[in-house]
Amino acid sequence: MPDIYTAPSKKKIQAETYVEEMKDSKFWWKGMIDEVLKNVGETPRSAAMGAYNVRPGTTFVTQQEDEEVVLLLRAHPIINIPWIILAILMFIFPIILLNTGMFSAVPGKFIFMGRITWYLMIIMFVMEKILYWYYSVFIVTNERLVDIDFYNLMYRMVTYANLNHIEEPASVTGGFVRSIFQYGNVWVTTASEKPTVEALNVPYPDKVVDIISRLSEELEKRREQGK
Amino acid sequence: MNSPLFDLLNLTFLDIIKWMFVVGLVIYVVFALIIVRQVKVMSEAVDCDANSLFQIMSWLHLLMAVLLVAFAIVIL
Repeated sequence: MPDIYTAPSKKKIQAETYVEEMKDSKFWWKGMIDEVLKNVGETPRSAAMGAYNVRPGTTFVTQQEDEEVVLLLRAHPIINIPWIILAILMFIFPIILLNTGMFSAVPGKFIFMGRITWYLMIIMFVMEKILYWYYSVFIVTNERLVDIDFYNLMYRMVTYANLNHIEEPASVTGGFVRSIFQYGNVWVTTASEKPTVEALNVPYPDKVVDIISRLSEELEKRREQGK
Repeated sequence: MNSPLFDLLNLTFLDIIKWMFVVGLVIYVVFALIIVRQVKVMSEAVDCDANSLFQIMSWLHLLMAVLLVAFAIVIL
């Protein structure tokens, strides 16, 4: 005969009590993040070669004391493939050029220095691309969204959106490659002067939207309770 | 045959190319310095695991660029 009533396990009660206690404590946000992540079925982890990080324990510029990074997102590594192919072509370019015999009249020491300089420039090109990819991040904290974009070596743009002031977030996926590697764009509409905060080509956009929505809801609930 | 100007300065055509090369590489060193600075700024913006690795890479890149200037002056 099936059980009509199943008493909750002691462990489950303890976990729920812990979350409730955390909600009222000084570190109230930790309980809130625990609950949100539990509801979306996430645990602290790193996936997609470091492009999708849940509760990574990292910090960022202008982070506040009562703020914790819930998600740290980068563009999916697959978008780096075009420039990697270009770098490989650049690498073999001097070999092809020298085999044509075009530079047979040029002294060997000039060819040697030219090749070394060319390879150093390839290193710089690769470094620059890796740096842009690695440091252009989209951060979701328990309080706001932070979009850090590096456009070139001199220009950085940081956009903030408070989770209290966001409208419904949206995600866009589609296309062959995006579907296979599960990445897409996330747009969050805000009521501020700059209407949208965007995370482009991030892994698991649906989950990102889900987490942002739930965090926003939790904050709203808290505000309604006057906490 | 060298032009009268080259004769006057006791320079060959390859000497001109050499110093153009050196000037280009010096500009490259300045660029490598900017990268070092920028990596520092980026590291401050986001505290990530690979920060120290990128900083070491940027310094190594600068060192290679400086060595290349020296090479160009000595070898060419």
